[in-house]
Amino acid sequence: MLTNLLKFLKGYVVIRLSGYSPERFLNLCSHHKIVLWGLRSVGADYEMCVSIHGFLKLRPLVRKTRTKIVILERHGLPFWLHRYRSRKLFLGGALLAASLLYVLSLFIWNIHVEGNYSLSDEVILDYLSSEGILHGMAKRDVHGEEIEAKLREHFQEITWTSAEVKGTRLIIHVQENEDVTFEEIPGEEPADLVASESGKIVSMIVRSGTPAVLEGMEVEKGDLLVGSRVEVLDDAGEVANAYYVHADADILIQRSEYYEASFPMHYEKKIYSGRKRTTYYLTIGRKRLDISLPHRGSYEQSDAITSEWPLKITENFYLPVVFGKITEQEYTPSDAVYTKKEATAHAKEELSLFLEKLRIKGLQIIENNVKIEINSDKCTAYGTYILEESGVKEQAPVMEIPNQEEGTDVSDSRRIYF
Amino acid sequence: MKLREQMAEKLKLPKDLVMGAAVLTVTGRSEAYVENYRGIIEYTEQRIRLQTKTCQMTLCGEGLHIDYYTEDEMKISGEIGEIRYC
Repeated sequence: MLTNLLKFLKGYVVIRLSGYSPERFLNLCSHHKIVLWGLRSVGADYEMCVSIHGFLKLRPLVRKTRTKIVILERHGLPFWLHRYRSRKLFLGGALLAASLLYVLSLFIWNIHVEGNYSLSDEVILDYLSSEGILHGMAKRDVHGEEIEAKLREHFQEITWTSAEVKGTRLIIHVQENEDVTFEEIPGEEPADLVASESGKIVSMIVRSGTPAVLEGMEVEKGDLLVGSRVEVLDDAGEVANAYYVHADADILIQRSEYYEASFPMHYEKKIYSGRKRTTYYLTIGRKRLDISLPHRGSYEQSDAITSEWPLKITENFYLPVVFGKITEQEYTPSDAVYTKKEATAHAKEELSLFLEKLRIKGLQIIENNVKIEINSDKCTAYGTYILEESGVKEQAPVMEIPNQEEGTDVSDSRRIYF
Repeated sequence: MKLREQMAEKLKLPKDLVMGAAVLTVTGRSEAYVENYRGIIEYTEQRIRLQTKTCQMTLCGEGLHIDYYTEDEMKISGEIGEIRYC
């Protein structure tokens, strides 16, 4: 294999040898260290292969032995290059393509963010671009540790990051802290839990700390729910010692809220004429280029739906080219009145949308007493609904450190405010 | 000559080195390697005659073919019928 490759690279010729004493020629060749291979006798003549380098040294030997050589075939890279010497541009193109590929591989063409949950890709990418980490930046300017440190510093939610360059991709692995609100006070420092909303406590699971309320109790916003002070009592039932912990509990608070929404019964109804018009446009940088047919008159009233397709290469690399489409639908406005059925359905839809929003926020709707009332010119939905939510907030505690020398006397103590 | 041969025998030296003897390695009847030869005297498809230091070596057969040859080694392929020294 290797010898074949070498033969190809150096080039060789197949020659036919004829004349007075070919054997003498062969012996002279081996004496002059000219390598011959593939030797064959064809009738009185010989055919053999010899490298280009060897062939150039044959002339004196040929004269000496009075033989004649004829080149039958030419093989190898030197001949090949010679044959295609007129296709310089092709070779140039191939080389250009290879160098272009190399040059392009020196840049970052895709930034991929992984593991983000509450932070969106855009937020992280926006921040990175403000720090000079952009699509199309040179790979050698990417300093992973710097990016990691910046991300951790800027986003409190991020607890761990890793920036990895894979080919022309920059992959940012992110680990987020799932409950950011609990970050107000670091986990090891003492903290009280207070109510974030007023209401009735329906369930309480305390993992650490001293509960200050019971299930079923009404609490006001800001009331202490779980204290951070844990007391150790002695046999007499007096406080022997006290220490502070980071209180931790799941507490569900139930409260009722009032809902009211109304809309007029008269409204403007759109009657579509069925005439439609679609126009296209192209935005390059700040320039907008309309691609549309000449208008056949204009619509007095119309709805326009605009869709845009930003051009992007790879996952998050948007080019400053946007392709857009506007669909206009002509309509004529006319006054209309909701029927009772329609109005009820509309009000119900509004309510369910409102409740759905609350649900997404993590609140649980227990009861819903909203009524719908229709007057001549107004439809009103009003009533109370009951919801449950996890209603705790962390707060730095007021700590009382008992005087150790005086024993258990709590009154004689220092107050430390955090 | 005798002395050299005895010396090679006693000192356990390879004889091809000491005496310049040709080494012929035949694989089956289709391949032969020849080392330590001086030159080619005759080469046809039926007969290859080689000069060695002490004598001539003739390989007879059909379709004999020299795959490659250098100053001190050659490979012959083909159907070898007879090997003769003279």
